[in-house]
Amino acid sequence: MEYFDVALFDVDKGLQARLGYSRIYAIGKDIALSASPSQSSVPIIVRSKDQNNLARALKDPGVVAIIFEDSILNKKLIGKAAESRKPILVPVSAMLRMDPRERQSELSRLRKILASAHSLGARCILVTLAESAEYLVSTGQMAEVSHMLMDTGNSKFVIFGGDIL
Amino acid sequence: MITKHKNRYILVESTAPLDIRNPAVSQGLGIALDLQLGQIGRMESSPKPVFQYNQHAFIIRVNRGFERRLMLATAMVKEINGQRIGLYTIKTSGTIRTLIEHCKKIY
Repeated sequence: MEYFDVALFDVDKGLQARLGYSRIYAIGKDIALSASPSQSSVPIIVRSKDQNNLARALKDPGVVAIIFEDSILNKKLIGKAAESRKPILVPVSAMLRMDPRERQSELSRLRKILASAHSLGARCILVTLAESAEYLVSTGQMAEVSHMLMDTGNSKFVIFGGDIL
Repeated sequence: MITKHKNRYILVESTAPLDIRNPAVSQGLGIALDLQLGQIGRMESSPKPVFQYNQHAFIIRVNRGFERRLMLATAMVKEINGQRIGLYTIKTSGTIRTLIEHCKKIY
């Protein structure tokens, strides 16, 4: 199994290998992060709060994945993501640095979304979307985060691992 | 029958220099892990920094069976003694020697 991650900065190759990733894509270099589908020479990830916007993004051939904001994602959109076979990226670095009480409610929201995605057959991939080196995690740590988010025995393979592009 | 107490060793890399031989730093790391594991989790897992390889890499000993919990706890540690830091678990092993050999290859 190969592991991939997405970060907001360029991570050097040595650190990528030590953390256990085949590749950590850098936003702005390998992938563009946008609020809506747009013209770009590199593949685009659309991050938005607007569910309609995300649904439109799933139809755009230049968009490779979507990221939802505020831990809100309706089942209709999850179904559309499953149909389009485009992954839903779940950033975890913000959750990992939260205050323990805030983290608890965020965890329960994410668990519900991931359980729905799993039952509807949508592909979810955990990514750090780290803005600096402090917020990256190794593949071993990411596997434990995925176990925390999903209680199924194969959570590591359901929501963690596999290429984004 | 007396059963032997077994440990696991985790190679940890920090984003900022961290000298675990310094008691203040070691205590700061303990406090940061306490916050994530809780006192009961800390008693069960008994994490202890045991070996410093270089400024950024060190080895933590933990009771066998609790290494995964410690890996998750280290992912959530973002500050030690007021200093912003990130901790990555690089490799887990049953012996320190294996981890030192691994360090020689990767650093």
